[in-house]
Amino acid sequence: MSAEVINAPQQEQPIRISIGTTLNIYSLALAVIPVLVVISVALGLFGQQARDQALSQMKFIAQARSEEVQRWLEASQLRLSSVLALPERQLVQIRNTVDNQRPNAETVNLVRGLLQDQLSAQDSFSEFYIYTTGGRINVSTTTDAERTQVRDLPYFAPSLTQAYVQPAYLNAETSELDAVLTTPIVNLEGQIIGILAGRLNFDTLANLLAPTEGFGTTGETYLVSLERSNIITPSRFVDYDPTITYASQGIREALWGRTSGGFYTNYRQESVIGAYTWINSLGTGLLAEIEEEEALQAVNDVRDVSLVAALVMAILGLLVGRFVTRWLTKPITRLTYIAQFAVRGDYTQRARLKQFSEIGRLGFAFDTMLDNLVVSIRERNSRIREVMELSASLETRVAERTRDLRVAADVSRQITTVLDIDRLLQDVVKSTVESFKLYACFIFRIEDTSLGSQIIRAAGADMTGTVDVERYLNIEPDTAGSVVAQTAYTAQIVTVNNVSIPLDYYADPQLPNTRAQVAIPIMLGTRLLGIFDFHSNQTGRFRPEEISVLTTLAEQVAIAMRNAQLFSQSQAAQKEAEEANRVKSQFLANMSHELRTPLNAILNFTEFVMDGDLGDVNEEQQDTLQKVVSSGEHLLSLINDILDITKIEVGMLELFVEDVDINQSIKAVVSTGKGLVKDKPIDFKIEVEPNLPIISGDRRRLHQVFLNLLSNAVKFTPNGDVILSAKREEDGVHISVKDSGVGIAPKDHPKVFERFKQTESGLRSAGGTGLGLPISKHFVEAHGGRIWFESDLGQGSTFHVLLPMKGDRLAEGALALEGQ
Amino acid sequence: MPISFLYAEDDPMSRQVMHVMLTKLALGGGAEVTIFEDSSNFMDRVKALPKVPDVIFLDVQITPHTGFEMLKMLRGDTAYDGKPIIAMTASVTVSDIEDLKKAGFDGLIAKPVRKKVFPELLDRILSGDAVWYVP
Repeated sequence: MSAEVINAPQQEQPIRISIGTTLNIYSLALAVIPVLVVISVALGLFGQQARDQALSQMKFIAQARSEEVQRWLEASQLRLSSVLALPERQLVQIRNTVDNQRPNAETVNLVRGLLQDQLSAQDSFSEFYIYTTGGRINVSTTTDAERTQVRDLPYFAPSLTQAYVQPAYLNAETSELDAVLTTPIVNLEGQIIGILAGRLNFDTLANLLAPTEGFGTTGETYLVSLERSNIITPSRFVDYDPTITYASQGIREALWGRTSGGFYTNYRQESVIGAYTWINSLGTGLLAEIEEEEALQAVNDVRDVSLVAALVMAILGLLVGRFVTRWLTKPITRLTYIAQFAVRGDYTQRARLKQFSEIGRLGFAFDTMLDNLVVSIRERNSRIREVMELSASLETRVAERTRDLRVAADVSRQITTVLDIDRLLQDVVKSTVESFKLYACFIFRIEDTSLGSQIIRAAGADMTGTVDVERYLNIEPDTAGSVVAQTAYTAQIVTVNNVSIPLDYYADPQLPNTRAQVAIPIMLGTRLLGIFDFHSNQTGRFRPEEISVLTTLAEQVAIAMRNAQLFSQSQAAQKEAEEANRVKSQFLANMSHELRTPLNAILNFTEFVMDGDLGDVNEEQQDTLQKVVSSGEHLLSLINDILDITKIEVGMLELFVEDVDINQSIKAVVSTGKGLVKDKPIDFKIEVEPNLPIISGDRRRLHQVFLNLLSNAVKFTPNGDVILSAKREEDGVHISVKDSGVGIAPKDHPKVFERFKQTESGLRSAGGTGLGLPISKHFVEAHGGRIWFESDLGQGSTFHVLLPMKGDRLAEGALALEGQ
Repeated sequence: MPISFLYAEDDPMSRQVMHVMLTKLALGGGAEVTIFEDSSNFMDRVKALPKVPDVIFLDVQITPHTGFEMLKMLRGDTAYDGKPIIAMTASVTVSDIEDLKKAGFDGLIAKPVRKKVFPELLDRILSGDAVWYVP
């Protein structure tokens, strides 16, 4: 399974919320939320109930304790009364202690002893004392109190008339809270003569109020005095201290005389559930309190237990969630993992889920799908392999064909570019060896000689490059077993793919590694030009398709050989033509020399005579001699024209290029022109711009052109105007010659610049070779210029010449070389 | 002292024309003219002249020594090297002129040269101008 046939894996989407997380969250919520809801509802209800219960318990306690205090107080009154329930003898003693203002000490001691006995027999009172109606304590169980006054104490007055309960008050003398019970001491006549008082023992009271079962650790009952708002019985948390006053909602309500209860902050700044009542006889408020926290301890315990339960539930939920999650996601993860393997091209992994749930079925389907995929990929790969093999073989064939075409193209290109046949053949064999990776390759030429056909080794190459064919043996046409000779004989392809098979195979001693050889005739039509000889060091190398390519190559070589033949023939012809040309130009030079030399003599001698240099001549003789000079000049111009046109024809006309000042050229032409019109009724006008530029050109040839145009104008204008104009234009110097002469018929226009063709009007007029304008045209064009004309019969003609400028240089003054 | 010319020319007609030109027409007449009919023993004959010529005209196609050879001989002798040596020929293609210039001729008068222009050309040659006259 190759990786390259697998599609590139898609970018994986990151998992934002996994199934596991989701399931865990859900199971946790499921486990915890109901518990929390139930707990909070239950706690709300229980809490309220617990509070109510605690409150009513406190109220009950307060009620019970206040009743107990009342009872204790009543019992204490009875006890005080019972102190006087003495035999008469002892009673007299007591009366004696108050009868007299100053009882005798003996009596006092006696009575004191009596009271002390009584005091120690009970715990309700801490002191018994007897005072007179005058307010003086005569006897007290506490000796120090004797002989002190009670007149100013609050209970004094009420106690004089009846038994009295003095609620707790602050004893200014002792700075202590006191609660006192009194009972009158009456004489026999029933008169109150003194009072027996008992100081209530607060310790006993405190014991009454001490916490009992059900008070827990914070429950307490205590009494608060109206007098100072202080706690008169030591509470559970504070000792009795008359100097300290306390306040709380409960204390305030109790001291106002209310009996109720509620939730408030007590004297210790604790949140409590408390109940309170007023004990009128004792003048104190009674409070029963328990700290809210303790009262609600059960509820809180329930809350704590519930929270623990919730936590346990949560953990359980999590564990269950995790288990379920794992149970669910593990196979899914496995499937994902395997799918990712498959995406990366590994199809060997299988889920093999051991679950019988839907996921198990999914895994099974997945595995089956992978199995099918593997099968189809295997099929696809095998098809791809087939296609690739096919394509590879096609590629090889295309490459071979391309190579063949390239070699053929190379050869073709060489055929068109390389005309040296020997070099061409060498290039062909060299590139053939290289391209086809041959052992060696040769081209033989068939040459017919007087001795018959000969097979000449023309070019060769082996793996090292081209070889010197001289070093190889030639093949005689009758060499037995020679593939080449056989091909030469039959003009057919001869193939030996295993040189050890033909018994008579002729092995070239210089090619010892040849294992296969093929020789292909190089044919042009039915004519055998040569033989293409291929050697390979591989047995069975030459397959039919390659031989067909090599045959094509041989055909190309045939064409090349023929082309080369034709080329060498054409080269020979060209050489001949060049030679002929050379002879012709030599002839021209000679003719020029031979014709000009006598003309030199003719013209000069005639002029010498005509001008009288050699003696006097008469007018008639002068006229005659002038005709000789004119004829001689005409002959010279003919010779010059014929020489020029001949040179042009053989391509030998050369320009002697130098800087030409057009101003000077025009000036020279004008002066000649004036001579031309001297004897004719022609108005010769010059319209030449000053400062014409210097151009590159052949001064003599340009002069010849201008003169030709001017002389033509004069020649074809019987009378009228000839205008020579020259001006500088954007693209050159424009020279024109306009005449008012006979003009040229439109049908003759094409003939104007043709050689030896004069127009009808031209023929009618005297003289002319018919070469002037063709020569002028050639000269102008050789200068890169242009010549043209406008004309119609009877309308005159205008000939124009446009010569390109050499830069923009202006003529610098008159530096003309006169007379040329 | 009259101007002296040397002219080597094998064509009799040309010799006669130049003789008239140089003796009768040029410089108002009176110049001394020596004409060689061939170029044999050229330098000996030149040196045998009573005085060094002021201008030497050499026909190019002359035997046995061509104009080029005579030029070379003259240039090899300091006595004649400084004098204007002018080629006379009827062959006046551009390559001919180039050859003459390369060989070291001071000028050219191509045939046919007419009596109308010759005296002026001669004046210019004598004044030191390079004259390359082709009609």
